[in-house]
Amino acid sequence: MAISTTIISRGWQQCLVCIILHSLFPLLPIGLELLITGDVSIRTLMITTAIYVIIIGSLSRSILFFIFTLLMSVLFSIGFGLVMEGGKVPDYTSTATVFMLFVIFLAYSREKYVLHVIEKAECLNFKPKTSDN
Amino acid sequence: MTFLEFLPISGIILCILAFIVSVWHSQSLLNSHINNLQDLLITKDKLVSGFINPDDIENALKLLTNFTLQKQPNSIIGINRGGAMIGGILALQTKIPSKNYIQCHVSGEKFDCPTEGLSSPVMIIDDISRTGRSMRKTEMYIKSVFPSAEVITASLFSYVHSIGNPAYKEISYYALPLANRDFESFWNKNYDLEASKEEKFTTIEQSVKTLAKLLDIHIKKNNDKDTSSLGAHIKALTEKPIVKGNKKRSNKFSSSKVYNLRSPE
Repeated sequence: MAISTTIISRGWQQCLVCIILHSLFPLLPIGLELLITGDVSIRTLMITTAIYVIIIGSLSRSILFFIFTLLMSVLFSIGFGLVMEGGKVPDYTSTATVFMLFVIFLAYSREKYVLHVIEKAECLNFKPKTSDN
Repeated sequence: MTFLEFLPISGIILCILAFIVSVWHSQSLLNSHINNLQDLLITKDKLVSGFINPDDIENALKLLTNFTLQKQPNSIIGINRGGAMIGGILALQTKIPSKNYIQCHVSGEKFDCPTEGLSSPVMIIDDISRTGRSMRKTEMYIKSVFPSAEVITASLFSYVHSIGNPAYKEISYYALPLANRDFESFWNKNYDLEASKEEKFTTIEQSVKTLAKLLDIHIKKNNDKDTSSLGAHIKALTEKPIVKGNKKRSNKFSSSKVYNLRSPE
């Protein structure tokens, strides 16, 4: 039975593809570590957060948002270095880091919603090129 | 307090600030879109059976003619088929010699664009810019053939994103924005305007005749008896179809007779 592609509008398809590619794929190291070892180390969390926030910030259309994510990335990069040197972090660091990842994910998702669902911008274009206009 | 103790708190503060900024930014983009495009945007309710309203077409033609008169191009390239028709009308109005009016065929991988007779500045015209692919291809081609040429790109209508960015961001000018890529101008082959369904509007002459017919009907409907109106002008054009090299006819129509465009703003 053929599945109608109109169940999800093109805008939503683009939005979901964008969210999956840009904001869920970079979290793969955390997911894989959780799957394999059953736990995620603070080092993985820190380096993933440092990279993740800067990726999301650079994909945003807001310069201020980018600046904040850049600062976060710098902080977590330093934090990662200190942890690697044997530094101790507070107990709630893991929870706080996961919370931060979630908030950044939410902010990015909202921006993608505006861009793809409302503005109808393309993320990936698999549509057959029927018109060249 | 060591750096690592300070890290989660500072991270959360930055994160919350980033979230607030992101939400504010998205909202301001939406508000700006609504304010800027509310009056101009061609939306579904402005269409006539799925086609762009003749009022909007007439307004867009006026705006584009103004823009063309301001830019004073030496050559016009019309992208087949709709753009070629509009380009032909603009070439007549701006008294561009027929040898400097060129039609380019752009479709998929096919690209056919004669460049004999082109001189800078070159204006590339399309009727509707949905994705901007045709315009981009043509512009890139002209720039590759004549690197020093000034290239101006313009269309009657362009699909725009909610913040007002046209589909082809580099476009020099578009007269009116479209809310949806699927909106069609009435010279689309499926538009049945008392015309036989076999009619495909593959030539400029047929398209211009249709344009004139519709505008004429539209003008009559609105009791517009002004002979200098666009409908009358276009109708006059169709009495002698646009053919390349017909210098007599191109000199016959003065832009001053239409829209009172003697001194464009």
